[in-house]
Amino acid sequence: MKIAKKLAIWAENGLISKEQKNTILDFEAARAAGNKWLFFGLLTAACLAVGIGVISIIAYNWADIAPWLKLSVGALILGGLAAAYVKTASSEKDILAHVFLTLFFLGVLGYIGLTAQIFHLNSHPHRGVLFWLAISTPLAFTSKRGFVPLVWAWGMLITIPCELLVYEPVQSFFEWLTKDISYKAGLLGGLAFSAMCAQIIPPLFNKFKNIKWGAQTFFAASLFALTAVFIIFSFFGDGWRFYGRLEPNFYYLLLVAVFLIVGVWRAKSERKILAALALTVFAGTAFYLQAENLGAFFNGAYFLLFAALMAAYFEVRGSKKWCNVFVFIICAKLVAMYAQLSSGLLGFGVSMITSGVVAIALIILWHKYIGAARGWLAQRLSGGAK
Amino acid sequence: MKKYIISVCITLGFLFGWTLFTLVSSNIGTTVEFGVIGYDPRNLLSGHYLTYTVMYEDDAKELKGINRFYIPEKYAADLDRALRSGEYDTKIKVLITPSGRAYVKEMFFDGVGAVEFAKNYPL
Repeated sequence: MKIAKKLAIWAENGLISKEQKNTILDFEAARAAGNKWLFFGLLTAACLAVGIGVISIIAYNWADIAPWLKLSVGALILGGLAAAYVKTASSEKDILAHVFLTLFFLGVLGYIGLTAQIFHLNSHPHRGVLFWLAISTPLAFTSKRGFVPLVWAWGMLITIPCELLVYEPVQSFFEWLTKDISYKAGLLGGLAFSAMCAQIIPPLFNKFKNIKWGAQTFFAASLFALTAVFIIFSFFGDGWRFYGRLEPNFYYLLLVAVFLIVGVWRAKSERKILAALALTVFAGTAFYLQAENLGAFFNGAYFLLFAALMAAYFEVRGSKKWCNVFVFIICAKLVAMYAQLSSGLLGFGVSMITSGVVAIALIILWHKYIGAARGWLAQRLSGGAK
Repeated sequence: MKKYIISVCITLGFLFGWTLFTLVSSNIGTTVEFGVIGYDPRNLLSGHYLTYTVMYEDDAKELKGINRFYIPEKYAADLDRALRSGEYDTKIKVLITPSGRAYVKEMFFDGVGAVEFAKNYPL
């Protein structure tokens, strides 16, 4: 029996008050929403694995298959995914609609790559992505879930400046700022520009909350990254690393202190995670300064630890969307680390698709049957205790 | 339902429209051949391709977007070696549309198409 029904019966029979019933319902709704963010983060990462796998198989370039056949099969698959998305989205089947939309969205990118491959097209690297995002605009604006709007907003905010930099006057201005004046001036200019855009751009999408959220996260991340890069560059000076020379330095301590300073105004539970983050940055930076080459495993593990702490921090703060961003980043990094195990585009594509499909199936089954499985297990355990 | 149908139709309309335009325009025009020298990098989206410097004739106008020829992964290493070695007469066949757009149609090694060359002349 659903909890809402149970609570209604209990309230009717005077076991609990109406206020208590509503408080429990609100608590359960918030908890379920939190779980769904994790669920959709994992599901999206699995879809991403399938999409990357399909793109790799296209990139393998099957010379023995006629171009018209490749284009037709691609068009049929895209048509099928589009139809499946429309059908599931219209019948409010959120989970399947999200899977089909993500696959369709990535499929469109794959088809652009296929066309470029067949006709040997060549242009600036960002233009293919910009074209993909531009024609996917309606998908981003009608999506119920955050992934497509997030990629759309981040992609647009990266590729539009790239497109502007192709043009001579913008390029000259950028070179003047970063080379003639200094790269620090360029970073500070970037910070000021990002801060200004953060005030102007997200409110333009007030009616589309997912797009607005995408723009907000982009500017928050760019402000954080530019500040970190500015501090790191100031610390390192003109060189990238000073191997074997770890000296206490104002900027180094500032990099660590940021998390501790933020912690002063936070609750105790948040302070613990911020202290762990400060320690991670402190130790990680020390390792990076001391060692010449730490290897891919150390880099991956360090990145995962940092992202996991960030996810935990936002979970504790109750920022489900930011927590989900970091869960997704962790999943994407794991997918990337896993991808490094296979060599060659064909093997890579097949393994990504296989594991992506298996992961999607397992995640959906887990979501659907976890409650029943827990109940069954509890029953068995209590039966065994008797 | 309507908004979902419209959104996928707009996306597919632009995508297939662009592909169709490329398909049609890459078949209308005149073809010319240029000698090339180059090497093989990889694009994450479209796979391996050979990139090169086009040796234009003295009076020829420089064409945009013809510095890339996509090749299957299984032949990439051999074709890359052949192109780098400089031992073969490498040329590209380019189609120029009436509007001035250029498409690479084929790449030749000693007069043989790139894939055929890699299949029949194991290096």
